[in-house]
Amino acid sequence: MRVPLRVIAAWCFVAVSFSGCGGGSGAGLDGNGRPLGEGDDPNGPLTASFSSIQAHIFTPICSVCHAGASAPQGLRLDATNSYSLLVNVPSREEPGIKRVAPGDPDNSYLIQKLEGHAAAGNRMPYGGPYLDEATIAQIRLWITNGAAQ
Amino acid sequence: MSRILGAPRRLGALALLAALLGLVGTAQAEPYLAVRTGLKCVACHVNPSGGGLRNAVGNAFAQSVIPANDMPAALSGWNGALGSHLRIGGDVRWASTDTAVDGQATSKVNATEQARLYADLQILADKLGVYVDETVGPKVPQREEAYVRASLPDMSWYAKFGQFYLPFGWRLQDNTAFVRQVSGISMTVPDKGIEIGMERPDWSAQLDYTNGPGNVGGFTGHQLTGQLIWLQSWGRLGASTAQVTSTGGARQAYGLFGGTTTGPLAWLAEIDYVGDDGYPEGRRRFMATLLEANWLIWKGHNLKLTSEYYDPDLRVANDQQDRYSLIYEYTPFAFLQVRAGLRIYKGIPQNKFDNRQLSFIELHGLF
Repeated sequence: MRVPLRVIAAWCFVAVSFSGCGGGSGAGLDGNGRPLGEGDDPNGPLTASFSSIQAHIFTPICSVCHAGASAPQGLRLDATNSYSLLVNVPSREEPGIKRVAPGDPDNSYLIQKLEGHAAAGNRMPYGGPYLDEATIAQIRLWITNGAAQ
Repeated sequence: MSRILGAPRRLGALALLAALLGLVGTAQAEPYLAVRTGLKCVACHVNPSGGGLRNAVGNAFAQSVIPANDMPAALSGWNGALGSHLRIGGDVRWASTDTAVDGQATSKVNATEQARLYADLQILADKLGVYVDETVGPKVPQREEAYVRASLPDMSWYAKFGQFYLPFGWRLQDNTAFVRQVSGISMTVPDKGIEIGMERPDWSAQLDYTNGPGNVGGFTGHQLTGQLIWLQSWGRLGASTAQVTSTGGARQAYGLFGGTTTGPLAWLAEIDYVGDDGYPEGRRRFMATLLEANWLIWKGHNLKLTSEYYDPDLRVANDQQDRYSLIYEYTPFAFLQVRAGLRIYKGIPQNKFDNRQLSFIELHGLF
């Protein structure tokens, strides 16, 4: 089969577009891609504290979409806004359930969305990969302990 | 492959099963098909800006042009119409996804992602209608789109009132594409308001005034979204903008996109730029691009190759991300599509999550 020149050229273009790229070098940045010293560095193990969860989960994963003026459901999970928009705030999809109900992880919408059994909407993080049990366990523990800031 | 193609009964039964399972999927939309054929979105979809329920032409197209094989006899003749005023449709999507992150065990998820039903009721034929797009599973029903549409009979002008998806760039099936995440406008984020649209032979345009998806809870404001598409025999070019006013900070998004064909290849490209005041450090500017090639290998067989780029903060150096996808799409019959693919993420080396790999198999039932 004779392959037309324009097809070969097109695929060469694709090959070129795929080469030479591969993500930033990360020089001068923390694990969240932010300049060193700007926020909590996610290096080190995740713990059941808000700052650790923010640095390991909310900032690098959730705030890709949940940030800025078009954040879905108005839920901004950047370091400045996440606590005030999570704790004791009713969910938009299920207003009878708080996003984070201190002391009650089972009835916290955040946990239900992360574990995939919320009554409405998609499991989060949207499109995956979903958080593993050990990670969710730390978030559960933070909520069980009162969801302190 | 010949054995698979030689088993139409089994595949036909599978298609019927998929259609009956629950009808899912994120709203179907594959703009490369429009580019490949030179058709507008409105040529095949009830919704003038594409996606969701297909019209009679779209159903005929889906049954005769896209699939590798003819419709099973038991299902032939379906065009979505139930009488002269009501049209229905649906999608169902099941997926098995493996995610590999360096240093962690590979995670595997098998799940029905979503089931949707669409309905369009013509109150006054070609002038006034009601459209509904409802997620019916696997969880509680959830309204995605519900609007009243008023139009001139030729759709040269139309208006939508209610809840709907906003027009911005390519309406991709993959809502996790960088350009859809960065713009904040995709088929996961409906908004409420009004849309005025125009359809002319060489032009399509939409202008939307809506609440803004982020303007809920303690945030108030509105969003103005506009899109203009120029269609020519060689392809199409489009420009989009979204201007968000919010008590939490303003946001401006701009997009340029285009599509063309070279032989059996259909190309899509998009570049989006966003400036957003709603970040802790103040205004953040970011950018994403998409280059997608769709190779029609044989009828019913499409190979999709995408290269994406994302700069999450133009002020910060060395933080860029890339994503490459290779996806094979096989459509044996009009009501069934099988997709298998690989996505490779590339980000800064200190973030393993941004360097993950996804492999997946998806089964789509649609009617």
